[in-house]
Amino acid sequence: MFNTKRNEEDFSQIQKLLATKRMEMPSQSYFNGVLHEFHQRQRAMSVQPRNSFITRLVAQWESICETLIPRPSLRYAYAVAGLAVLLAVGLNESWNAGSQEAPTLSLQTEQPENKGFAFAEALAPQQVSTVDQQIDAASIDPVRLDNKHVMPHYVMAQAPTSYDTTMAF
Amino acid sequence: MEESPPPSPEPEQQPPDRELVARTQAGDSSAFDQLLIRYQQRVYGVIHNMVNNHADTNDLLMETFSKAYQNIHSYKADAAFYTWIYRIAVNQTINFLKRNKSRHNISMDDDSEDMESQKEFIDTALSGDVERQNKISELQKKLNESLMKLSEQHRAVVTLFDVQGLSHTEIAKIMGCSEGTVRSRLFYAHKQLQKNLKGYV
Repeated sequence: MFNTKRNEEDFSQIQKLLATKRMEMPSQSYFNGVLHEFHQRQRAMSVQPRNSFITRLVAQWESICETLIPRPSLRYAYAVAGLAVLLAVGLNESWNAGSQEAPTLSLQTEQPENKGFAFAEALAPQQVSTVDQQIDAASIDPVRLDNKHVMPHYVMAQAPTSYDTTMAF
Repeated sequence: MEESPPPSPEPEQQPPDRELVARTQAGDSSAFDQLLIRYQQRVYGVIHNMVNNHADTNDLLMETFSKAYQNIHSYKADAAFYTWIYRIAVNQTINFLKRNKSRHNISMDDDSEDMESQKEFIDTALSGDVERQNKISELQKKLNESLMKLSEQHRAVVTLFDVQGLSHTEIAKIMGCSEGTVRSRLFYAHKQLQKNLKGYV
């Protein structure tokens, strides 16, 4: 416990000197302009582009801290505690959601997607008839064409007698 | 319970702080203007005695009132408005000083001269003969230097107690610490100032 009376006596000169600092003030003209400047700054702040979510969150937290939590060391403790609570709530929520709809493994094997099938489907209504179309269709998906849309058959039963493997111009 | 009135009480005719705060909270920004006008000098004094620089004080004064206006809905009437605004000012200033420690140390060397040269500063102590003026000026410079050597927390306590004239209880609420801590800091700060001003007082 401090001896207040003794301290006051001891520090009276210092306290008198400190009291003179009350007089250190700008002129009244400065204070007449404070309100105007405050309004100007408020207007400037209102037209500034909105910051990102994180920036606004941090700014909000700092604002709350400066208003409510005077000790800087406690601010971090509060922030950590807050994050821990959020994490706990988040984990709890995900756990509850997970227990209601547990993930299951499907035993069905999926057929690989056959790109050629789509082309063959597109060709099917037109009844592949010409030789060129048959060859094109077969090159896309011969199995599909053989099974469903086009009956398997030879394009040509035998080579014609006039067939010439060489080409002449 | 309402706190004891601030050092320079508000005029009788003007509405009390609580009413002005309620009107501000209801969306009447002109009520906040009245609060600003009412407290600007006292808040300026708190900040200026901690940063010892007019430009920084002006910025911090604006930030303080801006924060107060933005967070006026979080103000609870269980504490006096001036305690609340002082708290914002002190916290803003301490944060500012911590952020700008290196820059601050440099600027403080020039600031005493800066303050003396500022014609807009009124110092009623500086009246009389030239020799006396010089002595007082030198003493004030030395006092400012000694104050700047204190930590932000100790400087805040000295400013609030010795310059602003607040009680230990009020300072404890503003600083968010116990009265014992306030007394302890005050004792230490006075001791340091006395040591640094040895030969002057």
